Amino acid sequence: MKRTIQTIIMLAALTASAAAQSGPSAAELLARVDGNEFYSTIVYKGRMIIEYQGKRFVKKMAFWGKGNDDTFVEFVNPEDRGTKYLKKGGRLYVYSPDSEQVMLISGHLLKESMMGSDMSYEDSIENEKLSARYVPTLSGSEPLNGRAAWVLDLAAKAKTESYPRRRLWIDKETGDVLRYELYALSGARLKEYNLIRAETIGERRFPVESEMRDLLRRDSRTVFIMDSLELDAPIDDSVFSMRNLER
Amino acid sequence: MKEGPLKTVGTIALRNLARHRVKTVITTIAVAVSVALYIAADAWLLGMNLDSRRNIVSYEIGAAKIQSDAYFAKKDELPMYESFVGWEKIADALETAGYDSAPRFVFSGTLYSRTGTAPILFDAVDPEQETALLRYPDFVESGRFPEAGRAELALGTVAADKLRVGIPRRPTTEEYEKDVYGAATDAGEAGFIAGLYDERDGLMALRDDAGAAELDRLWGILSRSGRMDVRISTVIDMVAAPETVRRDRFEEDLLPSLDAEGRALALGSYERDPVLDEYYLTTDDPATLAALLRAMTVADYSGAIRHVNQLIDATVVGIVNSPNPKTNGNVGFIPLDALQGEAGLMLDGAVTELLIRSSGASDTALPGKAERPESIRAALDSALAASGETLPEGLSVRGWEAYAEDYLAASAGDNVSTRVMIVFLFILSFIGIANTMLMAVLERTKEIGMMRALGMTDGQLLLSYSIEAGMIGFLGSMAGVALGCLINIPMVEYGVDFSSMSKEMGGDFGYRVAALFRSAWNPATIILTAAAATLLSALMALPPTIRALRLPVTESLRFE
Repeated sequence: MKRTIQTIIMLAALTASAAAQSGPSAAELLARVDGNEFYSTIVYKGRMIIEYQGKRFVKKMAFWGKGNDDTFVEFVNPEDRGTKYLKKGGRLYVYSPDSEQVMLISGHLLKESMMGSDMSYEDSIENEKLSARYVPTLSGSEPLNGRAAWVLDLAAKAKTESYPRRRLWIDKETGDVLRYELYALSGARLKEYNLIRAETIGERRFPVESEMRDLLRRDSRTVFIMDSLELDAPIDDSVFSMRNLER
Repeated sequence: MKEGPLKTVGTIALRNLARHRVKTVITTIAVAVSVALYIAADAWLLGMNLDSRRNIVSYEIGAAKIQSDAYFAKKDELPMYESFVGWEKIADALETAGYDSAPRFVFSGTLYSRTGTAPILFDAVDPEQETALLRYPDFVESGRFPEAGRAELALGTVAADKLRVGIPRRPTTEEYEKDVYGAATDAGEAGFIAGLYDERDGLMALRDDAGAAELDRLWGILSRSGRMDVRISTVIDMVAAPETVRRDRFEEDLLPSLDAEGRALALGSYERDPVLDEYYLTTDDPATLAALLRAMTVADYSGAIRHVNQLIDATVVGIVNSPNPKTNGNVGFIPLDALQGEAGLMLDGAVTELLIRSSGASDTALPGKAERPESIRAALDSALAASGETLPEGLSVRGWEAYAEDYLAASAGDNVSTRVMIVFLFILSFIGIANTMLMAVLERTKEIGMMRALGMTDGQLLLSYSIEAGMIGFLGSMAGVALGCLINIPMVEYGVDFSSMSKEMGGDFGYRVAALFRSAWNPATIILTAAAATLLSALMALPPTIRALRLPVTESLRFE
């Protein structure tokens, strides 16, 4: 009887230890990512450093975003000063100061490079919870750039998802997304994101410097830096207006 | 009684022509040049237009297309979600009615080769049906046309040059050494490649007399080196009712954009979540969802359109260089059945259009009565009715002109501007005639006075000078017609090879003629131009003569 009790206690201890070592579930990890990176509003001034086939371009911008529906971006570097983007109600408009005209970016154009960067228009304005769109599977853990990371595979719930598959490397300690890869429907890898620097803002970790590579473009990468950042602060609806775009 | 004075008037006119030989010859030449230019330009325009129209029908569109009305309304955006299924039954019915048909799925994307990228318009086709209906598959200048079931691509020659795929005809020394000669895997292949190219003007040039077997072998070597491997980057447009919509977007954007029926559908399919302040989709009934999606896409509500990234590996197997530049530009042809599954575009049998041409139609003839959309529709309806079917609602047959409106408008504009220029030239030469006649009449004012004093009536004098001018016009017209026809003969028979210029302009300059510009005979224009030039010349004599006749005879006799 005593031996049986000892065996039960040992088994219970082993199970508890194994559970402690196996870490969070895939769903918990994804919820943590969403908790860190999904915002209700965002305002920042930032830089986009594009390195393409030996050339370097720096684009400066001011950015306002509300949920996944409203976005307003204004470029302020001398070459692109006055170029503005407005995403509203699922439509993306661009204002060009040269032509003084507003154009609608729709359909396939949303997949085109934004201002020559490695990000598409759609990538740059995406802000939807991953957990609502993907089914996560924890496929293991591995070190990445000296950090211990969980590897999370995401499969789209709906076949209409822009990237049907994603793979994330999540820092075991901080929960930062250290790297993610975006895949086409055929399974081909299209883009790769690497975190350079994240900051703690309130109770969340938020990426403020990152690198994106469009793997179809040779010798190309875009570094994205947020110089000043404010999350979840109220933004007046007039920011996301055609009037503001054409002003 | 009347023959005497008329003959006299005619004789005077002819003598006057002979008396002022230099003026007559110069003015005649001016009229001849104008007439010849008009005839040549008209024949050239007619030839270009006829060839362009034939090439649009034979290489690009066929006589007509079946598309969904929703697709046609937005055809410039290539809305792949407005495609249709069940085209096979329609194709069978068309065959019964005596028409060939070819299904297509048109989409755009970016093509990546080893060395570059290019935006490409892709036509996913059934190789067999496409080859039966259109002629461009016969103009694969190297390689072959793609085969069904394989991710193979035939590229327009312009795109191939840009992406450096296919067999390079004039590579730089660097490209030749790296990509062509460098593709050889042994000494035998290296010697074979070296024997196919010569150095000309600092560039390497493929030998003009290279045979088909040699080109096939070279293609094989280059293909093995990876030169023909490409990747198609595109997006699959799909429609799906959004699971959730923010309250303000639902109420301010979606609902106002829908018609009454659509609004009722949306309000019945979504419910408001008071906690999250958003509307969420509550229905999963396929029929309701389909109707809701239709209402959203008709209203152009972009929230219902999703874009799925896709990357497709393919191999270029042929380069198209046909007489229609549209097939030679940034265009790719890929088998339709290679794009059905998740490795393709998830087409599930859908196509964006069905091209139609009368079975056995001549390539040299434009579509006739039997190929008019209404005739095709009537024949199709009766063939479908025989098997208890009807053409699905929302699908329509439209003639080729509906898809070539841009060309037809540009061509009409070109016609007008060219004709206006020629008419100006015409006017200039007639101003020359008017001037000649003015001078002639002024010089002969005294003579006119004397003839009037001798009893010639004003009418006879007017007739005399009109005949004189008319004869100049007639002689000029005849010379012009002869000259115009002489220009036309080689232009109609052989044409002019503008392929270099065409290539410089990216292979596409509006007209659907790639290299050889040929004229066409237009007898009506030749006859009418000659008649108009003669008549106009005769009329040019009237104003100065009338002016001279207004002077009293006594003053005319004193005129110096």
